[in-house]
Amino acid sequence: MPPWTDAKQNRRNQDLEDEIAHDLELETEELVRRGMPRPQAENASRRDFGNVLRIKEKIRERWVWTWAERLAQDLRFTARVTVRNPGFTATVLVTLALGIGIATALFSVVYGLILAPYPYQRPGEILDATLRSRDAHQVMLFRVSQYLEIVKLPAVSGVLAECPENELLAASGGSETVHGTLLSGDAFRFLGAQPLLGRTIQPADIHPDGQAEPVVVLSYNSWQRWFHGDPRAVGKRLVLNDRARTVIGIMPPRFGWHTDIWMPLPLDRYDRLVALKVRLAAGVSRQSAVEQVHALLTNMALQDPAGVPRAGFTIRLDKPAWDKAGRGIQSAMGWLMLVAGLLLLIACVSVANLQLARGAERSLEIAVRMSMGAGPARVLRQLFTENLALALAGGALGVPFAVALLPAIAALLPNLHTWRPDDASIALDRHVLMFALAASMLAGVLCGLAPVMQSWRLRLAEALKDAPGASARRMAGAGARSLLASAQVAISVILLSAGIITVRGFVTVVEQGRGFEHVRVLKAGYALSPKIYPGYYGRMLFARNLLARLQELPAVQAAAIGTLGNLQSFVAFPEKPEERVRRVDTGFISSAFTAALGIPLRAGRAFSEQEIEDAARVALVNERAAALLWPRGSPIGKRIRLDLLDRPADLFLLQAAGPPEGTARDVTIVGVIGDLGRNDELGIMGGPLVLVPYTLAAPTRRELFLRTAGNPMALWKPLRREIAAIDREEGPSNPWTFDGSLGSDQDKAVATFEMALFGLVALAGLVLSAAGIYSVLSCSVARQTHEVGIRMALGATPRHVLAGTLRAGSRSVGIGLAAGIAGSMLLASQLETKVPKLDLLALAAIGALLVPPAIIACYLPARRAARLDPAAALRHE
Amino acid sequence: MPKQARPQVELLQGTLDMLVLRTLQWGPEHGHGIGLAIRRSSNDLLQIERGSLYPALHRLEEQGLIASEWRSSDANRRAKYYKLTAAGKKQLIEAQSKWRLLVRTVARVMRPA
Repeated sequence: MPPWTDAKQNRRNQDLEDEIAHDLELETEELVRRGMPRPQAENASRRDFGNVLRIKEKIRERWVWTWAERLAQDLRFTARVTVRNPGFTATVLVTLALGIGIATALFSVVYGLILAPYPYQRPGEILDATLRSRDAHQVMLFRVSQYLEIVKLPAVSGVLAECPENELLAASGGSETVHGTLLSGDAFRFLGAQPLLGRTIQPADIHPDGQAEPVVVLSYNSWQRWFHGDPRAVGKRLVLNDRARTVIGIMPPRFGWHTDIWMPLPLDRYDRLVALKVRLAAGVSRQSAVEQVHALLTNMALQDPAGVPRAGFTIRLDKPAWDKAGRGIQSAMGWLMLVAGLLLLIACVSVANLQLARGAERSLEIAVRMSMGAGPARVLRQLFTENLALALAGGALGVPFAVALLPAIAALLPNLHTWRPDDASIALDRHVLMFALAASMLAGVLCGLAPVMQSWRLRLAEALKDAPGASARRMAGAGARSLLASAQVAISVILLSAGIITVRGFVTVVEQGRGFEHVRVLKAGYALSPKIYPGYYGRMLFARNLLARLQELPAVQAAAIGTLGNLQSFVAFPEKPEERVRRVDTGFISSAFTAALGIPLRAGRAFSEQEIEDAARVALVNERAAALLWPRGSPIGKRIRLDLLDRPADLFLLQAAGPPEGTARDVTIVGVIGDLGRNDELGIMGGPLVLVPYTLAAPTRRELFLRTAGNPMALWKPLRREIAAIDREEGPSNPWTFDGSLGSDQDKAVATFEMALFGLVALAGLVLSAAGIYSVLSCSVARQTHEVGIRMALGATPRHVLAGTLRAGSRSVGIGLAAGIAGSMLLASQLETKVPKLDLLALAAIGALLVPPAIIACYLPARRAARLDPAAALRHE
Repeated sequence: MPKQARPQVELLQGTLDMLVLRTLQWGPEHGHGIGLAIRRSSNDLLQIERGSLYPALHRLEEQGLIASEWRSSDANRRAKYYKLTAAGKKQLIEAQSKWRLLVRTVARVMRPA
């Protein structure tokens, strides 16, 4: 296809038409002036002109032809050049294939995990509705009763209500816990999502009395896992939480990240808590929708004040953080793209350098071509065609390499649901291929820049005079080449230091995991009816009773209560109560909590039974909080003030007969525990944490942690039995099993992943730069043969020659090292890590990794120079 | 006067470009004018085929030896005028000297000794 655009083509055609029409007219007029009647004159001039159509055809043909001809010429030339230098071509292709291949593989991971769009209809219009208490510490959920009214508001066109509900799936091979979500009847219509098979949940699945039909929709992944992708799965029955449910449909991949199954949301209990997503009605602003919801809830609070925080509340409608759980992944993915880009850059610099080295050789050829009449534009075109063709060939080789690399990277990905969306497909699709193409083109242009700039400055006469073999210093590009070699070393240093940061991150994580026991735990929640249990003592009695019963079960090693996650509190020191030091995660626990979850005590002691019983003002902090609040000295015995304990009204019922006014919020630190790795499922956020006795508050919902030596799933039935024994109306919910060490299994997996990937990329970068330095130096040695001959004839010893060449090489390496270290320090200063800005260990490691290959790359060509026979070298032209 | 009777000279391969460049030395001209000028200055001996002239003009333009521009002609009509570029001037000088050499050499060979 000719390269011009349609508009340009049209204009060209029109110009041609006009030109010929104009000239025909002139001819006719001339004949008329000579006395020929006009019609005859027109005919005559047309005849005289010849076949107008043919002329136009001929010209148009030329347009296409010139372009195609030049391209063919350039390509022919490229082929000739590449075949003539097989070593050069192979090096360039392998370098580019390595760079493009790795970058493409990394991009496909990033694309599959975060860039690929969600299969929802107009996802940009979906808003997350949140209810916050005025002081903004609490993000609260809506009640079903509120949901049912919000749906009726004119400002919204649709509302989706969802509620997580973990289920225990009974199967012949043993049961497992699954992530379930209860969805309002029209949720799938709200999302605009079609099932892969069967049907989705419909409004009719929720009966008028609020009871829900026992049906279930499976995610693509669970369909694969439980039914091996058998289409007959629709209509089969699954036993979930001891209840048989019929499979009605299968969703396509990437619909919902962390959910295995969807079930209809029963509307039988108005105080059930749900999260809401809304779409606004046409023409309604977000602000007016917020006002309507706020007014509605304020009005409803007149009847039922428990629905909203007493201290006042705000409503917010925000773009949902679809990838909330993937936030950890996002930073890692950003890193990945950065290193992929750096690696590609190293590959390009390497190739540009090779081109430059050869460019010196080619400058003669180019000079000849220019003197034969090729314009600078023509020569540039040729050089770019050559580089693009090489880069595209390199990219074509890189894609199979990426395909080979993908399974390895996918296997490395931490297989944890918060980290890896199971449904995300990490594969080479057209987006990834487009990326590979774009990367190749970019590489082609980047690689071509240096030689093109070099030939730009080429002075014809000089180049013609300057046969290869003359002093290297006069040759064009010697300086540019050593500069590029330095740039390569600098980028490698940055890559290596990024790699070292990940290694250190890994070591820190492993260090933090010290002392954590491997535990098998069943976590489950219970929520008491606030009508039956309105007060502190009733709720407390229930909890105490339940814990005692659970502790008696033979399979239970430790039973604990722990309310964590979503609770934050400001810390102040009692001496300076006005100064809020910082916000910390807060948890309410029973004495067996640390034992049940295998959390090590780093200093001090755990809570005693008596302290729990008395609701004593004591606290445990994790190491992170201890380091933040008391950078020097031990936190044991120190007192802090938690403002959460001061505003209990909405969430907690504190013991009525508390200590004297004013000191209710002050707690004394009695122990320091190890830092827990982030675990969303268990409600552990991974930040600074303060734990206080659970008896300080009595919410209706609590979480239980049961540690066992056997299968934690086996505790589900006894737990139900024990709760029912206290109150037949109550039961556990949201079971989740945990088998591992709370230290930082997940962090460790993430750190391992990062370390392995960065290691791979840094290694590839190292190889490329060593090859780059080597090629530059051997080239300049080859070029200096004549000069070396002269110097040796004048009495230079091989030792001198060796030293001279080594010095030239080590200067490039030294400059690169210095620039790279400065660059990586700048990078490290942008990072929020515990890695020191000037990391001597890292510097030493970089030196150890980079300097030996650099020395070898310098030494080999230098030795070749030193071994030259002066007589032969002098004759060398 | 019937055309067939007039004696005509076959144009040597490759000389058309030179003639076009030469013609444009006197200033910008459109395609028709160029053809006319060549015919006139050769006393009607050289009849330029339009089928070669226009492709030649476009080729020269592409090579950057001539440039074109639309302006209004004498009769206040829009016409495409061609003019010599710097490269074209250089090319013309070169072609001229080559031509002179060729003519002299051929003449020397053809001259009876």
